[in-house]
Amino acid sequence: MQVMKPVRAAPDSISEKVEKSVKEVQEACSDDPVSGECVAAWDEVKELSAAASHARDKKKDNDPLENYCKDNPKTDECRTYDNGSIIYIMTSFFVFGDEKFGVVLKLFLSC
Amino acid sequence: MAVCSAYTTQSLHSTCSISTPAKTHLGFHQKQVVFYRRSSKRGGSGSSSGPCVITCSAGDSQTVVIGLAADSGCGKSTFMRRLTSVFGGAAEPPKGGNPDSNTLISDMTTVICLDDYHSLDRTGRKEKGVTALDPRANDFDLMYEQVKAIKSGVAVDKPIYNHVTGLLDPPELIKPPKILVIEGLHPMFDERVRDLLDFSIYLDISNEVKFAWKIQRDMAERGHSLESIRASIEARKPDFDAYIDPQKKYADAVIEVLPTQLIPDDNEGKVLRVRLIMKEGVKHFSPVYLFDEGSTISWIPCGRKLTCSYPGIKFHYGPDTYFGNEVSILEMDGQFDRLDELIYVESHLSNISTRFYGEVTQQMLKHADFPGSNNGTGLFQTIVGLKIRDLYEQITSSKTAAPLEATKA
Repeated sequence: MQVMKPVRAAPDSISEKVEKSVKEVQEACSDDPVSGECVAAWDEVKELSAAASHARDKKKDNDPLENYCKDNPKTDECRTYDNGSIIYIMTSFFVFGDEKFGVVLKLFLSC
Repeated sequence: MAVCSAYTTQSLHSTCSISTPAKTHLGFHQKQVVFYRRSSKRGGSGSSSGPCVITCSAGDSQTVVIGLAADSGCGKSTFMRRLTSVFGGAAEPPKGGNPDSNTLISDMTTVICLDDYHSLDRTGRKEKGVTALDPRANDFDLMYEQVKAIKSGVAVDKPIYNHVTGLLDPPELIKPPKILVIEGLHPMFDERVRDLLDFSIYLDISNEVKFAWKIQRDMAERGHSLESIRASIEARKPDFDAYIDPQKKYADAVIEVLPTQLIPDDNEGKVLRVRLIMKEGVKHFSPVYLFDEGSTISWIPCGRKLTCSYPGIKFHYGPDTYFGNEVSILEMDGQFDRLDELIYVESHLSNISTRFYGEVTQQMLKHADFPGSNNGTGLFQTIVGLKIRDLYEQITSSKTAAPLEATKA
């Protein structure tokens, strides 16, 4: 059984969706600013703005090499060689009262 | 009592194999029987059902369920990332599934977005004239059924709400994790769901701060103006106050984010006053305190031992009542500029459930790029994450103790 879904001419990117939704708000709210339609239209704007900002963040995080290496760590481009160890030390000193001496040390060894 | 759950996994090329029983770190014997079926079609696209994993665990495999009420969108919020980081590992969307899935999975935790339980998609809501905040747009029966199932160790097929298209996509399989976090607008709205929660948090952002953050986030987007951002917050306010805000009184911890009092007329929302409101008498949860539990303390750490830059840091701690409940409130106004301010403050807080000295600072530094890493939002979110870890350990150790007591009796 085949179900045919009508395909709308939807905007491609989320940014266009946001812009479109703000325009739709003008129509929905022109009659009655407190109607359900108007409020639902604003809710849609909010939802799409959130989706747009998440998409922006996701695009920012996407380093193609890192993404490839996450799934294929053994390929030539992604091999890491252990010539030594990387030590990351975070230290913090301060004095409690007169005698005690607090030290926080974190050693980070990467293999 | 043995609980057996069967799930199908990705197909592996292999013959039949049975794995030996393994002892889990909790001490329960888990018999895992894995059946592989050789694919009868050669190189065909035939969908053999793949190997079936039937896991039988003796004893309770109850999942700890945490509820998080937040308006900021699901699973991608900073709070979620900090929380999953406390348990170790990064939380990622399920591999090989719907790319627009809202679910995040890490080793210990699974975060599901309550938007997936919308009964009306975007078009449906527009037709009926309801917002996503309205209970009429959400299927609480399904939410309750599925959270109950996951809590008792049964995998479920959870629908997916696609935020990009606004449609409800085909469901995805959610296997019971050790810790389930349900994040969304209505985790504590339905009484039955509320009873399933082992711990609940409400993230309460004041309107001024919300407005300031939205300006920074949305002004870059075409179509938005200052007015449209303000109007979108205002338009949702009636529904928000009617349906979402009342959940505050049920929360075990509320993180309230307000504009700072240190800078007069500040409207940038960069320096924040954050209050951690912790309910007293919650099982497995002991509130964080400053210096002397139950007393009222006002503390400015900047002085002779610690020099801070403008506007400085101000702490307040004390008992109070919140919607008729006894609470303790820990408040921080200002921001951290340097590492030693952070470690200094951490060393003076008590009951923060760290495993080692400096753990809060380490967690904050690990995610120094996250928003809120230099103020109370990051600090209290990290501390709540540690309290949840402590709660989880208490719950699981009390479960191992119970069968021992039963054998003694």
